[in-house]
Amino acid sequence: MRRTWMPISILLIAALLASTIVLAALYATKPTKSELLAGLTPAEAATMSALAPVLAFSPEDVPGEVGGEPFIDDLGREVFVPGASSVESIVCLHPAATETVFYLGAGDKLVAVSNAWTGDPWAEYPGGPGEYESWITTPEEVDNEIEQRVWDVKDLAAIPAAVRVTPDAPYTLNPEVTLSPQNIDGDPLLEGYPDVVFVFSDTIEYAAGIEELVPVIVFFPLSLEDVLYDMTVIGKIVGKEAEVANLIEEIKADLLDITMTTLIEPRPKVFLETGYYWGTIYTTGSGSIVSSLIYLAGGDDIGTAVSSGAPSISPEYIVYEAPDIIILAHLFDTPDGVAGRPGWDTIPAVVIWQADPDEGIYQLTVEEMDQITRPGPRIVQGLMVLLGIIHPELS
Amino acid sequence: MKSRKKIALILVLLAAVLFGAMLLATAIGAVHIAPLDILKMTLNKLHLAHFDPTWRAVEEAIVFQVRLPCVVGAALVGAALATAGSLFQGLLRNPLADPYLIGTSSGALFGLTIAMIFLPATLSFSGFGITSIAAFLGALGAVFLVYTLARIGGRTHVVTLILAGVAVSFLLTAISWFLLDVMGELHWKAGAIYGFLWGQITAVDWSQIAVLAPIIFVGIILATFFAFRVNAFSLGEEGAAYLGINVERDKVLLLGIGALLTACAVCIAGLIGFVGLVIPHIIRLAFGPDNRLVLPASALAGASFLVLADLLARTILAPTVLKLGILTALIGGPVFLYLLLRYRREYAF
Amino acid sequence: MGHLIMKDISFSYLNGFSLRQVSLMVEEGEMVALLGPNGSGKTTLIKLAAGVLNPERGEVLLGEARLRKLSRKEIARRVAVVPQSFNIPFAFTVAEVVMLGRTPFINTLSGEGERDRSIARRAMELTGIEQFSKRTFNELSGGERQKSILAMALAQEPKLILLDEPTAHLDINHQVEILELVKGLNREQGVTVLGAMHDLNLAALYFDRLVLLKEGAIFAQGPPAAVLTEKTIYDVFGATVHIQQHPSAEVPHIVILPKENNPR
Repeated sequence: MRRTWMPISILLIAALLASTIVLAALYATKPTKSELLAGLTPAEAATMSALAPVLAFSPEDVPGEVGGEPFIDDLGREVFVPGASSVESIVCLHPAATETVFYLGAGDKLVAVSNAWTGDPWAEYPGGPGEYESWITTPEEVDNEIEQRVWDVKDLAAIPAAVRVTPDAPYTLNPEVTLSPQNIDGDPLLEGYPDVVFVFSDTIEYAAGIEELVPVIVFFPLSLEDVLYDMTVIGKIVGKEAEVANLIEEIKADLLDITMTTLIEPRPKVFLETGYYWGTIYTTGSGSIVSSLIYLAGGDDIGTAVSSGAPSISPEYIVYEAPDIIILAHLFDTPDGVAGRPGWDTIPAVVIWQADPDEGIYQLTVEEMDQITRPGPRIVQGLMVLLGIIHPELS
Repeated sequence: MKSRKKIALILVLLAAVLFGAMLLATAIGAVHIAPLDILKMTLNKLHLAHFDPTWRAVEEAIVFQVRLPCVVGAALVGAALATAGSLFQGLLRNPLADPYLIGTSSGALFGLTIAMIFLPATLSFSGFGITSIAAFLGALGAVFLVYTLARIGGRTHVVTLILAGVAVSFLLTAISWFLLDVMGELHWKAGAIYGFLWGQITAVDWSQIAVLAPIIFVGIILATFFAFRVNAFSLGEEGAAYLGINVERDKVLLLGIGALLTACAVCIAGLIGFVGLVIPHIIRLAFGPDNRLVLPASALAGASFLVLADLLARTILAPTVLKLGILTALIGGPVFLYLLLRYRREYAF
Repeated sequence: MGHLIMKDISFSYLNGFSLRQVSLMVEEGEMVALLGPNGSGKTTLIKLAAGVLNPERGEVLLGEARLRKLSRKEIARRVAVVPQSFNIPFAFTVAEVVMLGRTPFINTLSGEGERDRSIARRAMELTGIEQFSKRTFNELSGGERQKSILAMALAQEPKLILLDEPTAHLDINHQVEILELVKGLNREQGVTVLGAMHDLNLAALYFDRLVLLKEGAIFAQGPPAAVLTEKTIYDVFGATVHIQQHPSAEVPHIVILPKENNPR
């Protein structure tokens, strides 16, 4: 008996190993480059394939009405949101959605928001609709605005599978606590539950408990047109369809303008680093929103060699591709540190930086990182940041 | 007992395997560079020949500054872990012992956590980031703590050492995760912790190697010198004492060497498992349990293994980089299972 | 050189057991047995004689040297211990185990030499296990393992051999084999032997002098006939036995009496 099942167990283990590696290879495949439209270089083709769906997007194509046709969220779920023509109270656990709600002028409907990813809760939340400049308000102004409406959560009677939200909690949810907004002095402001909850996640897991009590819209935009889709959904839910349609037209126009100017310029090679953890270098990868922005801004993102699902990238590759611009979208290393990495002193970006510390390697501020990586109304501003780096002569 | 000649022969063979592995790992990488060019570059560098460069300057930089240090680093880490594993297995008389048993892994994690939360991420000393140094010190500190806890009346019995190691590991790991969670850092630093927990050799530079290589070499050589004392330990601590071994002193010395080797490995590569556990087993099964052969042979075999595993991690899904620790576990796990199945009887005790 | 003197030894364990002022002498070339119930101090005395434990009071002398002043290594070059068994979790061969006996003599830098190898070989020949030399120690039977351990002790070329209940788990034939070997070494090589024994009859047959311990002190010592009497055995062990003359040797033989046959 032992003699026969030993080779079998070895075979099983070898099969397990082999299939793991094969699966990994299949699912982490290098992305297919966009179709080569006649006469375009791969970079130009990438740019067009990022832009085209944005231009083709129209808010009318977005299904869903409050109290009517269900919305379809980014996970493909059909969500029915009850109400008259808009909702009255929103719990928003998605910083970009929070920005959108404020931008559309519906900030008073928010009853709870999550801590922004940057750890500095209110500095980046704009105070109201309008032009780009008025978005950046001081932390104090925003604080006052929101203070009235964002509450500590107290436990209610133990209703299972509801959500605890506090300004301090990270955006991942703790699926076990109750949701009961009250103002700071403890007076209940809202009886019962909010009308809808916005969540950012790639699985339904986090919202699984809440959706039995409250409609949950899950956002997970993977591309620029997804961002526009999300904003349209939000606009419809808060009853600001006209405003959001405006916003989208503005964004489309801006993106088109910028891209047309950058399309004809020579493209520098850009490497955008999103993380540097224990020696592993991360970028956003092909197919990501940031990558699209880089192309629209007139750069050639060398990080597209890895897919956005497994975005760690080998330093050998980076040295080989010799980018002209390195952008640090994180705080785990400094331009000094980057220049000191072994073998990186051959990279043009590093050479340029060593000659002039204002060029070559760019460290984004936290605010700029938000603008670029937060898939919300300031996406154009994010593009402008990149444009300022990649083609300073055009911005 | 193997004769001197036989031991030498086996070691030379293993060294040749290591050399071959390192050659292979230098020739192949995320970026394709013709091996012939690599050969020419190397000969140029060693001033053995003068070829006109048919390659780009950037390729030379990649080979000598990005790739080669990683290959050498992988060899050093593999050797260090395998030696530490054999030492602990021999001293603690337990074939399941691995370099992390007496607290090194949790200590390193703890040091890393403290550094990440309280110190600026960009401090560094002579090529070592503050996190690496903290991991190194944490690992050694934890071993020291385990040792003092296990010491009763001037002696540290093996079982007490292992128990203290487990207890300290639990404690330090829990504190580390607690701190990360409570300080709200988990979201931010999750990537760094993840990278550490699963091990990586992508960013080694020559200055780090210059510091660690002598320490690791000396550690391995010392361990090999004391191999016959480790042999005596297999009779138990009393038996070893009867044979004239100064048990407490040698235990401190050898555990200390093992801990130092492990700390060196952890500080540049993070936690890489299975090398320290499985390689000594394979060597023992192939060549017998005499530590005079097992210690140096494990070092060489561990180095070869990790060099090849690192090669795989760098190239299977190039240019994406796989975590080395995951790869060693994927390979080491089934091998360990196989050994267990095949040699169950010998392990029954 | 090979005689052992333990003078006024006092030693106590944490659990309360103690030896109180025990004095013991073993002449060079003598073969002495320590007897007594479990917990009477036999193994403690062996460990004190081996230098593994240090007495709180009193002195252990080996030849002219005070044990306290010698290093572990120096002690191991003179004294070898044969315990009940060794549990070795690795697959060492018998030859490798025997070679471990040369540990106190091996220089860190040079490793073992030809002389060490020939001593180890001779030790295996003396104990009759050369045919097992390439086999794995763990695969041998209890008796063969014990002979290997004895060979390992012999490889230390000791002046004094200490036995710690060496026949405890062995079959009767192996018990005899081991003791015959030890006796032979004692007679032919003049090796001094001090052994803790649990089997009184075997002790009587093979040892010149017996030392009977009770609760950490010496109760009686002398030739077997003097020590093994029905009274002493009753006083020390609480067992009622019948002593008769051994059929072929001039030593007493203890006959165990089940309770119903108690003549008293």
